[in-house]
Amino acid sequence: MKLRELQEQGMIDSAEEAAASLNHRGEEEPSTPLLARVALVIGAWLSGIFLSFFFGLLFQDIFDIPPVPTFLGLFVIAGSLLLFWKTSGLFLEQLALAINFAGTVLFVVGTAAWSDDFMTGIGDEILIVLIAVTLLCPFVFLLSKNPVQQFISLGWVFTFGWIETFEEASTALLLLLLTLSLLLFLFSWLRNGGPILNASTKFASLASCLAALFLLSASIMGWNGSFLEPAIPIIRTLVPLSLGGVLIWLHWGCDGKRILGCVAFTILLFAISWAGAAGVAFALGLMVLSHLVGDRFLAGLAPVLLAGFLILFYYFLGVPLLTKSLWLLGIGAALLVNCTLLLRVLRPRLYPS
Amino acid sequence: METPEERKITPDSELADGDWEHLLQKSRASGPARLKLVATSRQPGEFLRWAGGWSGAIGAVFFLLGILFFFASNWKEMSPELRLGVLQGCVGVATLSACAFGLRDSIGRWLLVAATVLVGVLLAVFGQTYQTGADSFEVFALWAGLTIAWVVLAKYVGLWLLWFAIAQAALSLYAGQVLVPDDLLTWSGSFVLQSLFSLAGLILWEWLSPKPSFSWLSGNWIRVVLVTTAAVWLSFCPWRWIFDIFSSRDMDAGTLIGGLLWVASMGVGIWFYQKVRFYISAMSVCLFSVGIISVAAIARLLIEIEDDSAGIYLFIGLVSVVIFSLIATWIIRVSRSQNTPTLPPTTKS
Repeated sequence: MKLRELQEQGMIDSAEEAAASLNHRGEEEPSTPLLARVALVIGAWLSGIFLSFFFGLLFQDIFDIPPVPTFLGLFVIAGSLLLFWKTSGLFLEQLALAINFAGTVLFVVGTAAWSDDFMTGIGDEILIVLIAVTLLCPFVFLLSKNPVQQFISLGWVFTFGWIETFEEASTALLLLLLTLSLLLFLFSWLRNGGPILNASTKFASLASCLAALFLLSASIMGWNGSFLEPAIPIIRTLVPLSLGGVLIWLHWGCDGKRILGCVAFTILLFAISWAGAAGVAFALGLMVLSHLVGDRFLAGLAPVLLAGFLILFYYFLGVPLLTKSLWLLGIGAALLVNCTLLLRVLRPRLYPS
Repeated sequence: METPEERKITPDSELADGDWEHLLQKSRASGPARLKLVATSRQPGEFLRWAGGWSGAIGAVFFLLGILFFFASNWKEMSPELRLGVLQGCVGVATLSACAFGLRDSIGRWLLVAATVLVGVLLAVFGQTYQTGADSFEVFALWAGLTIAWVVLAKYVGLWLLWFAIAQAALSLYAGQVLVPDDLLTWSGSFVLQSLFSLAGLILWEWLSPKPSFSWLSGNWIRVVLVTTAAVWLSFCPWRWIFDIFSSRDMDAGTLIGGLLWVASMGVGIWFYQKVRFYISAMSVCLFSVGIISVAAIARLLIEIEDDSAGIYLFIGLVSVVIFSLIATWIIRVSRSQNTPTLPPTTKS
């Protein structure tokens, strides 16, 4: 295969550029050694922790007035965003992250105190904080240039979402979070096509999606199971449809057999999801997608997720151990037969050489 | 013959296998174009090979777990003789299979690792069934004693490391269950003992692994594991001084010896891995230990003097920045001066 042919088939933008890049590979500036980067990260986060104490003590006299820490937190978060925009370098980036973390802690503490003082009628500080961090999240997510900051902003939402599920049944809110996370993930794949580019948004969306699926696992574990009931059918449908949808979109324009294969795989994911293992379906779909687009990070992560969700599913299946063992033996045997069929029958027949 | 360095790629030259890796990494293609590019870079039928491989791996794990769960579900119904018999049978089958495959074969070695783990399970089940009243350190010590012959015979680094971990666990439990309760040692003294044990393992490894007859021990990842283990055990005494007994200013002999041992070991470690046997990851572990404990000690000292002053916290923040920037600079300087990758490949001879 030649670069010119790749360009003609629309796989690369410019054959000349690709040739130049190939001829100059290995000539890039040596990057900072990984361990030196780790040292800078540790230094930045340690200083960030002490900076949080510094802010806390500096404003302790006016901390009793609830809006102060809230607005101070917003001010610090804005400062960290500005630091990302105006500066570069690993240390400053990490320091900005640590400052962002400190700012969000101030914001959360202030909002909780505020709701306690002025909104006692509602009687649920966690819910107020959850709403506040949910409102803050899109701004940080859209304005930030850093994937970890995006991830942390979503992490706060899911942390309080998680705490809230223990406190009180709030199905509507949970549903909204789950749907939002899957849509974010889908949007990320459609925008970036799933490759290495713009890994930041993809990573953040993936993290939120995992948090959502982990929340769903709460129903398997039997925590407040009843209030999650309405969310379950939606998630069981959304997971296979979003991953299968991306798979079909990626194959659009290919021959009918491939599209049919994608539809069949989506139906398989649908079946697994409706059998109660939405997390397993997600991990399986992600494994196939990441392999097809050659994304090493996700291809490495997906089997780990698969193992995790499988363990979670089997551990909380709620059937006797003997039944579990028979299920495992049956599925294991079926997969071994499938392996033989794929490698010994189908592959030699389709690709004789 | 044309070397890769001499090869000039033009838009019309055929792509070699090594070119695809770079092309995929730098490609800005997304969506279906990306899918097509990745598919073109691979051998025909690669997806079926990948899917078949994973299907087989997951299937095998499921099948084995199914067998395990089947026994587990009937565990209570089994008599003690049958339970021990099953476990002894497993140990025997694993050991004999390891001998049949050969102790130098990778399957044989893994079977021996399985047999070693099963010996521990057998001892635990024996103790639970017959209520022997033995302390848990005795189980670990017996486990280490019974399996040492396999470690010597197999000449397999994974098994050696497992045995070392079992022995360290036995020593740790012995300290917690006998030495400290019987006032033979203080907690700091027991940390010193365990630090010396892990240091002895590291020194033994550094001495033996370069020898041709011990080439099976080599592998830089083992060095990182051993250095990290030693650094963690060594740091217990400084941590104890910083958090437990700092305010009383009454440092016992064990903590003092442990602190001095930590200082000396970190100093020697940095020098040894920078000057004698260059390995930047091991040197960095020592530097990180020095950095973290120094920041903690300075923070403790300053907070002890004045704990409600905002300026103190700002100062500690700046100190951490300075210390870790110095460490980063040190690593960068050493790395560039040696012109060696940060994580060099294994020096297996």
